[in-house]
Amino acid sequence: MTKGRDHAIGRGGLAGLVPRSGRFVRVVRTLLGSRTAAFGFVLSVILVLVAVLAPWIAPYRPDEIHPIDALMAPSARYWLGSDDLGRDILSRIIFGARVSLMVGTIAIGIAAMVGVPLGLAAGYLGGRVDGLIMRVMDALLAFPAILLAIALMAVLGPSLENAMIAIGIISVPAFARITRANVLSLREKEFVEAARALGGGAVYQAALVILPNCLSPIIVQASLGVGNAILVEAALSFLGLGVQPPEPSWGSMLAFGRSLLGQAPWYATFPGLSIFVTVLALNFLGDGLREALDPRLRAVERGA
Amino acid sequence: MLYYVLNRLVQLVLVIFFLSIIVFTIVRLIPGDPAAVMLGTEATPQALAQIRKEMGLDQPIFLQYVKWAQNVLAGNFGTSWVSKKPAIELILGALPVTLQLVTGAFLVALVIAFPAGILSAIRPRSWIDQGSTTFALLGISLPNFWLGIMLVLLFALQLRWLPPSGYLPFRSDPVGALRASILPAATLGVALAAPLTRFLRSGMLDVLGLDYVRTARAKGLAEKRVVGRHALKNALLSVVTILGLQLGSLLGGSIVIEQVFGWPGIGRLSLAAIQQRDYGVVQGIVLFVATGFVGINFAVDLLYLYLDPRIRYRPGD
Repeated sequence: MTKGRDHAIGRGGLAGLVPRSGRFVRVVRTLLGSRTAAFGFVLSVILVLVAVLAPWIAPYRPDEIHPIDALMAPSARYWLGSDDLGRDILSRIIFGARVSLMVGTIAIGIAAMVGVPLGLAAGYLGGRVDGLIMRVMDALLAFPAILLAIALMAVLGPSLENAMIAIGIISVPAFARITRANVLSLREKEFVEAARALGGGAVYQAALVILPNCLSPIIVQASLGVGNAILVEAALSFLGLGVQPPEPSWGSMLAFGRSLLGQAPWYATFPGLSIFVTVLALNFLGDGLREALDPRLRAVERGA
Repeated sequence: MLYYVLNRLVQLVLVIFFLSIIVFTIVRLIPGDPAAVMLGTEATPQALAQIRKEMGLDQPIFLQYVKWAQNVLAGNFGTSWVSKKPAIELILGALPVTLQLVTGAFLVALVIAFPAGILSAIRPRSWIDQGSTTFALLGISLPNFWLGIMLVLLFALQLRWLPPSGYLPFRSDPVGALRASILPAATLGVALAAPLTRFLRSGMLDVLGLDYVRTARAKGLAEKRVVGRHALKNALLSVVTILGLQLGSLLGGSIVIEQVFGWPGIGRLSLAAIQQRDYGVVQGIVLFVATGFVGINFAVDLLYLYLDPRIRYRPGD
């Protein structure tokens, strides 16, 4: 093994394009070194771009109806076919990406903002607080997430915003658990004791010392969580509880496409395919991040 | 060891208690007055008040909870005011349908995951291993309702080998039931196969490196016997653990799959009940399911105790 710095020849593919030094960069290189992780990363970036640039890249507006061209198979005019009102399915899928990504990221944002502090509190304070918080988390996890999301939507009413809240709530336990596990393992480490010795109070230790070292698993969980959130949102919309028509949502398109399965199979195929590819990319990315951020691997890199 | 069991029991009771409070609160929060739903918009205020009194809705929330809890403990999960039947009857009627689906899914998952997981562990880093890891990731990314629809498109509409939807009870028509169950079970099973494969693989990998396996090898036992005797028991451990963990998502998945294939199971029942503001049924289902889930997890813990001798001799948890 070459000592010191890697040569560009040693790291193939996309990884070779990235500069050689710095920790963040090293993580990115490990990430891009794996085929699946690179695939996930690139695809995720593309998806974000598609969602952001939707109004500019979609061939039609998502609500633009052409009743004469209803239910046309994929063709040069409508690349993925048209729906029952003659709307271009490709354009609706592109705008649906906006909805999905938005719901996913905001829901997970909510989940992290609630779950991480809860996990910090539970792990750091221990005792009764820990017991109470984790019992509530267990109760939340005790029944199927989708059922809980459905119940929450029934309480809040079906809409985009409420879907974000509901999905955020069901994603909280995962963040709480992961944070708590990390806090428990870091609590007794030397640098925390050092912070304590320096006179830092509980909040200082928890927030400024422990938390930054927990970030890696939280980031991994966020990536995987967004993927899961998109799946749940699609399921809710499929059941009619999420985004309401005429707003394009992959899930509701899938539900409608199902009723037209015999006449227009493309209607159900492509939105579902989009969901699949999106979640797959995010899962690949999350898995790749987990490997890239794994501290054990860091030692190996340094030694080689 | 007894301490361990008792500890788990206490935790179980606490979790169910918290669950009941959450369930009760959420259902009460659903907008829509059940009295109004029952009597319609033409009802007079007196009639509404009367019905509310009968349903116990005029009591303070705390008392309502206590009364409800007492009923539940007596086995009375409330009544559906949509169908006027006891909730427990509706639940028990829908249960066999969902059980048929879930059992089928589990079988499909086992058939896929067992060979994949074990082979991956025996030959790590081979193409089987890489393939099944990727397959596992694919499985959890796939929206199961889309998979179901695509399978229906292929097998029912294009090839016409299987019926596109509909439930047939196994007791009355085994062959028909099998044909009707294949697509739904496969849909649900694929998603289950993914984590199951991963679990089996890592469980097997752990075991294959363990001391007592090395000892068995050192003693000169043939490779197959080493794997067969010692490792398989721990593979069973993985399966049992997964059963506990995945039960929740299996049930969640069945909600959607039952919608796709039109099966009158617990999933569809709960969806309808929530949309119709049928408090009694919703509470009953959620509590029933959650208790069953927690209970099964507890049983899994006990089985764990039996299967993995290392836990047995450790004091406490």
